[in-house]
Amino acid sequence: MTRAAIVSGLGSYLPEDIVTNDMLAEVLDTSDAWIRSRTGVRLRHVAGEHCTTGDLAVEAATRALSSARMTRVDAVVLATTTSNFSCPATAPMVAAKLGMAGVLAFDISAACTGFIYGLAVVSSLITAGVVKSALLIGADTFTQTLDPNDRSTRVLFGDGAGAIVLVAGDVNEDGALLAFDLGSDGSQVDLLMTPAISRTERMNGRASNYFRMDGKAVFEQAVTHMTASVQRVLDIVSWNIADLDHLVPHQANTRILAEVADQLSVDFGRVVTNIADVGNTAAASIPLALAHGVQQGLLRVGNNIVITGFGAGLTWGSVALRWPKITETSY
Amino acid sequence: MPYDTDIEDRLLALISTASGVPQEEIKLETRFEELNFDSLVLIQLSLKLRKEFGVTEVNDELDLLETVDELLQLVKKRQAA
Repeated sequence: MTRAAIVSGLGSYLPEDIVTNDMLAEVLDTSDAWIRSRTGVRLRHVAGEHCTTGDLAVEAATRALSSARMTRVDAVVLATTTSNFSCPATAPMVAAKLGMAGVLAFDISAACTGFIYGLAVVSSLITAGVVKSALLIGADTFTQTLDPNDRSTRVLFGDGAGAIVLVAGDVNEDGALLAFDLGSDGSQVDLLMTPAISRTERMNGRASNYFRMDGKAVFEQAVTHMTASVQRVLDIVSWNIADLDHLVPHQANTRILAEVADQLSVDFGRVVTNIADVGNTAAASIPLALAHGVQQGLLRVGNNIVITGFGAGLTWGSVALRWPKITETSY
Repeated sequence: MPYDTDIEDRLLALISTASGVPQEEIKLETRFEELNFDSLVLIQLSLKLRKEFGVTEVNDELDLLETVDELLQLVKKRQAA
């Protein structure tokens, strides 16, 4: 028997407030047609002023625990770049709100790749025998970092959360995480970043700490790194493209996803995509896409799945797994 | 030459895929401005050129090209290099 982390529960949560493309077109120089053609986004959910990343995380985690038919786990790991506080991490508070004060809990900061980095970290905790079960949550309130006047980012991003429960099991079980490929390139930090600024700078209005993005460069890097990372993880598990039932990518932009599929020669019908209804939700993107895949009946027991992501850092990564028998508990 | 015709066909198909413009509407003399590319199509084009022809580092040159034939000549030149 080879010990492995097994996916045993999945939950997701989207805040109620919806911002449509037409609503954005009222305040920005853009249109529904422009947004759809450039990004594939139709609408996005937005957390209100008093709704934090931690709140979204608790909702998604509660649903994932219910899906796994569990009430407790040994660890709570939260992938986010919009933590409630600069210090401390949000995960301990989320764990406490879930009634699990006392468990191992920490945040992972790897932007849109955070959930994939989290899968590798939680899998390692489980296979090393440190814990027997864990919640991995991806949650972000990324819209709160955006410049209200920047149409290139405001049309793209949305808020949300998704979570999975992982438990110790055998590598031959459905749901086993089989292989990982992770990487980074900090020499390209400028392509996607939210600068830190001092309180004085903020008060003087001399600097902003809005998120900024070089869209064209990001497009090229995202396609290049997700394509190469998927190829590497396929090589590790000795799957051909034909063996791959579904690719579940970070929902960066529909045209990035179409280009990754084309580069890999994967039929776009095998790519799970829900960006039209949620936008790019940063660390929440992949668990929300998994939930969508289950709701749509795309992800089936025993399917060969590769999850891939790319984000600020730059960071990227991919994970191969066999899809388990789980019921998703949705928003 | 059959080889050149093959490159031409593959290039026209590639431009069609990247831009969404039907392939029969794309000729060698077609000017890129007629195809109404948006800002992302040139990036998609450069990524597809890398996959299809192994041609890299063409972003700056793509911005300057005016016709499909100029792109064909660039691909041939880079492939020969």
